[in-house]
Amino acid sequence: MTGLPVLTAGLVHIYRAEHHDVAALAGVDLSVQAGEMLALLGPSGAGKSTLLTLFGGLLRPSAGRIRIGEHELSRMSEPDLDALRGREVGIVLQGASRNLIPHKTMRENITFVQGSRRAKDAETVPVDEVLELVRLTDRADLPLSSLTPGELQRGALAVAVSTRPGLLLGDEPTSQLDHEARDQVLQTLSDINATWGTTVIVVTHDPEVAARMPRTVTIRDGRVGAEGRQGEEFAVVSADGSVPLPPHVLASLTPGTLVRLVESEQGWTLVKDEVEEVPDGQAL
Amino acid sequence: MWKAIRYRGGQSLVLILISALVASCAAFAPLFSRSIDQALLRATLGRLEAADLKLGLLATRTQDPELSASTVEQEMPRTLDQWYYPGVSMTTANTDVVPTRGKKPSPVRLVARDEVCDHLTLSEGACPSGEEDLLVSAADAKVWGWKLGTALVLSDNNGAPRPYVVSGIYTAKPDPDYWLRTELQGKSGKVVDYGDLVPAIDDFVVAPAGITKGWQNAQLSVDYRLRTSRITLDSLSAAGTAVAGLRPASLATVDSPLPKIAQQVADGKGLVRQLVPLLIAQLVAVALAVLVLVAGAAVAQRRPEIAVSRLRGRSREASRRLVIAELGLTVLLGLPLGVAIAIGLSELVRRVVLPPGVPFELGWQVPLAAAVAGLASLAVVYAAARPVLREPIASLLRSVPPATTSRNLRVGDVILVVLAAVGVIGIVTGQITGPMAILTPTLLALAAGALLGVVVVLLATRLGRRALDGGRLGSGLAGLAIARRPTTRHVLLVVTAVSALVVFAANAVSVADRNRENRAKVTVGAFAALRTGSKDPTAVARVVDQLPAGQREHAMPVGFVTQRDPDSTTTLAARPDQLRRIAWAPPAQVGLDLRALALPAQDPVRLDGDRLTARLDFDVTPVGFGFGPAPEGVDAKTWVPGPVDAEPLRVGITVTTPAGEVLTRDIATLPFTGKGTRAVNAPVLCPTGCRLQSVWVQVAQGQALEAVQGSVDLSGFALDGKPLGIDDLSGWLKPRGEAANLSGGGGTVIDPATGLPMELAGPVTDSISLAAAPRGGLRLSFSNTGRNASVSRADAPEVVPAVLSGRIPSGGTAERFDIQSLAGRTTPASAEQRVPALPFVGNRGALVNLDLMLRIGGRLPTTGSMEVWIDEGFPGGVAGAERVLRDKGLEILSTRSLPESKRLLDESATGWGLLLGLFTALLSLLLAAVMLVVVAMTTGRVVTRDIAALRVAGVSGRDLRRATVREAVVPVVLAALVGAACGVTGAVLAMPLIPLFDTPAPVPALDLSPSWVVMAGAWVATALVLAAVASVLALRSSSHGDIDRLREAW
Repeated sequence: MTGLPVLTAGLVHIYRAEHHDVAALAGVDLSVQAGEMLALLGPSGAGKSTLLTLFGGLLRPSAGRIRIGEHELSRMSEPDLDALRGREVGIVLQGASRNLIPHKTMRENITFVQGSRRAKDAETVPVDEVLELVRLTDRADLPLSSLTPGELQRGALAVAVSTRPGLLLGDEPTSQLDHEARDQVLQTLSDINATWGTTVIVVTHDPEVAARMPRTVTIRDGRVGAEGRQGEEFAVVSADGSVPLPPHVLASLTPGTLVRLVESEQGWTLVKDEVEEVPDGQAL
Repeated sequence: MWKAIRYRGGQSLVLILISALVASCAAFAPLFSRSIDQALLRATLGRLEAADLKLGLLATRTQDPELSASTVEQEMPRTLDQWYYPGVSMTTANTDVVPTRGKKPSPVRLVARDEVCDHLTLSEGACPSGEEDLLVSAADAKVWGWKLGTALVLSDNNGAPRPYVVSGIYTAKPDPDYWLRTELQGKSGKVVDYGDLVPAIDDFVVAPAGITKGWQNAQLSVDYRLRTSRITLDSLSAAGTAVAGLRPASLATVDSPLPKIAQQVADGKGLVRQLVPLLIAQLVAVALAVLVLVAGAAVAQRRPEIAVSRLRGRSREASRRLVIAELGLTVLLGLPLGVAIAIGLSELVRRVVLPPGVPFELGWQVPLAAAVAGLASLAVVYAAARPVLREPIASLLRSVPPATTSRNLRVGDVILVVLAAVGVIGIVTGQITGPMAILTPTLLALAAGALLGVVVVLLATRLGRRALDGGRLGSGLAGLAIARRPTTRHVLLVVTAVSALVVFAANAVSVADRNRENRAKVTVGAFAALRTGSKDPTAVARVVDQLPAGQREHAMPVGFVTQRDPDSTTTLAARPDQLRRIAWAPPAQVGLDLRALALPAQDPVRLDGDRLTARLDFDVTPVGFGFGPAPEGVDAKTWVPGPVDAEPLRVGITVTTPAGEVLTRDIATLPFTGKGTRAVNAPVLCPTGCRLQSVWVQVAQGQALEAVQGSVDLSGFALDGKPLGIDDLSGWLKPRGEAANLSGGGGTVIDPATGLPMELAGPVTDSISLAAAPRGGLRLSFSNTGRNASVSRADAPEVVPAVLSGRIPSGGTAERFDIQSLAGRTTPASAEQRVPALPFVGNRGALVNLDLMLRIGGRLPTTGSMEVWIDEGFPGGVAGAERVLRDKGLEILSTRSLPESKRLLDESATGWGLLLGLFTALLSLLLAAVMLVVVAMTTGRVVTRDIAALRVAGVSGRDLRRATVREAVVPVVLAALVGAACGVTGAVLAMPLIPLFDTPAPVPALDLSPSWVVMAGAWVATALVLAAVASVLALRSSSHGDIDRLREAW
């Protein structure tokens, strides 16, 4: 299978708590091309993990649409979502151990995933090939307890891609790893992307990981706040015309500041309007 | 799969063990039931000798002179051959023989028995074969000088002389299985009452032809010995039914205990069928509750794996199969182990608790029970897995499962409360009876545990906050932790149920044991009762009285006489002071008031001489129409006076011999009219001495007068010239009924049939009164129509004072009813106290003073026995007493003892069944401890993480330890306390409904008062054990709460 494109439009997700609701995503519009590698960035609680979870069909959106390849996730039944995860979407959860069955070896974990009825219909990859891809061939039959954190994380990747999915979702795949292990994992992700054309979307806090990704999307306050391409960051105009300002800009342009949009040869320039402060109580 | 099971080895082991426990309980129930059934059968058969178990066919030739033993034998159905050995036929005939010239005839029995000579040792001669051949015992041959060829003439049933010739001299070989209690020997050398006292003679053994013609009263019997090894639980019922249905055409009677045994065992089986499942069901319920908890924990631990399975595209069903296959296989692994444990336990019980001979049997019920247990365990696993597997995948992916602690009653709790309420109401209103009541405490406890869960969570929150506000950190943290932990309610529920079960079971076992002991005490009478072969109460009393100090004060002679009707009142004769000291008074009734049984202060007057002398002054007048003027309405011309003896008025004494015979001796005859004085000089005729019982007057029978009235003054009584000193009125009893009450009844006369005082019935004119004579001595004033009117000595009351148990004998009143004296004579008695039960005789007895009976004298009838009762202090115990009494010449026929009697009661369906309650309680305690371990294992990570966080927050290690221990111990102690209360409530409610005996008896009254000490001990033990386990586990968690634990959560 080749990579799957991902498209969201007006994506909203609200967590229903006991006494109040929390809007984790407040209208995310995002398009990821097939075979693209993308990192979701943002502060804690911004909604990036929620977005990843929605991509995996683990949660259903409160509003908006998600399209993975030809599948409109918001309209799919639970068995169809199960099938989607079994064949087309590989997910790596944060913490390697949460992706693996602890009493099985790496080979057995992969076999377990490939042994499901749905996965049998998929274009599975020979186990040894998967192991070779993540460079765990010589560790394949050892107990998981004897593997290093980096090996476990690569193992989690191996399990996730063992059905050769078109979309690989990774939630903090390099957290709690040392540099060497982190680099190995990143290399593995690149290899998977390069070898099979798999679309890769990872959530990360690590700037170095972000720097290694061709495209980054920063989620802020439940929206796409910015996007980075080849190391350069852009503000993104949303569907309602608003443009979230980057934090360092927002520090000088406090809420309520009047700005002027000035058209020039380079495009539109945001100019702060220097006006006298209105005394308290006379604003209106 | 195996890898998965091995991966969580400890948890799998716990699951396997609990599943094994469920299976072992389920499998143990049928094994134990069957073993008890077998034990009941074996114990019942084992208590009886071959002679008691035999099937006897007994017929007489009365209706068919041609009837022979072989004819009777043919009436035994062949179907019974499988259970009985071939029969031994016997023909007997009673006759008498003059043992030697000049002697009076002695009774003797002719016996012709199959293969008898094989069981005799013939010192001389040969086995009888001809009609006239007979064997005599070696003892008789020696006593009477009988030799081979001695001719003996017997009278046949027609009175015709029949000549027999001694053809051999025998000694019987001991072989109980052959003789079946037929005793040929043992009579020689003894004396029997055959009109006169004559020497007894052993049986004559003859050939069958020797008891044919002329012996139409002969008894024909065939005895079949039971093949006890072939009587099994499965065949017993059929055998009992077959025997009960036996109806011989020859009108032979059938005598066999088998139908009764079959019924007893069936009744016992019925009780076992109820008791065992109900007791086991509670244990299974607790085990399943723990299994629910463990399975829930196991499923919770597999949440990440379920999440991975779902994450990789497996459906809910596939994930469920995955979990249930692993956990199901684990619990199924417990099945063979459980069955093995059940078999082992059953084997242990069989070898240690049950009587020997109980076979090991593995019926089809065992695998069935194991299968049911397996299905139940699988259902528990399924039920535990279901909620988790229904969770959405996003919830499964959470590293910490969502909290499920609810502060309200759940559906299951409500169901438990309703069930408990229904159970209690059912018991109180009588809708629930019998063994079902055993479920009461568990039902109550489950409901209480459920309610306690709600209350504790609420209170712990409030109290915890208050404690924190008050700066009591340990208590505050403990309270809040108790409120937060989802396992709190599990712990409260299970510990409450277990505590109730333990307390209730301990009480039930204790109460049952106490009642069995009470019944055993009443059954035996004292610590031990040694039945002697002596019929002489005086001799037995003398032997006991002459025991050396150290033995004498621990033994007492007791006599009793039963009547033929088993429902009649048995006379129990004992000395009050010894009875109070040595016998066991039936419990739960007022104490015996033995003062009224005190021996009269007046000593007996012994007439150990030849002639009685006295002075007699009389003044009598006739009354009636036998002579003198014509009565009113009768023509004087035609009036012919009737014949009257010259001296029709007899004056005499009544004496009793040491053998208990009552003899009358005339000491004077007087005219029916006139005054005068006589010198009494009469022979006493008591070669072995007599006791003076009474003085009487009586008009000779057949006189043509209605009555003689007047007085007789007696004074100067002397025996062989020695004054007897009986002239004083105080030595005599005032007769009941005075002269003034001539027609009102109440006069006392001597019954000619018994020689004892009796009350006159109906309108009478007889009366007698006693007063001091003007010249000294006694004045008997009387009106006598011919009945013996007497005045008795005061050494024995006319009406024997008694303590009566049970109802008054028919025809009597509390003031006067009939009992049998030790001499077997009907004697009037009065109930000075009425009690529900008396030692040994239970609720059908009359306790009288043994010494009084000894004064009255007499030998025991065949239905009477003399026993020696001892207490626990007798040197050497029962064996020592037997040895001492045998050394003193007393034959000991049998011995009852408290331990033996108690053992017989213990070896019963109810005894064994209730013992299972204790086993159930102990096992449930173990289960509760396992549950605490499981709770610690499942909550350990969370608890240690909490501790680590609190440690980081600056809480001291001491406070943390205190909080952790309190968090673990307080719910356990609280639940144990509430459970104990449920157990006590259950005991009060349910104990009256639980059968304590296979065969209920009217006495002693059941003592169902709770065993407070035992229950308190059970509660303390439960609380201590569980609190100790909880403390150790809590301290272990506390010691693991280091900062690394926090890192796990990051």
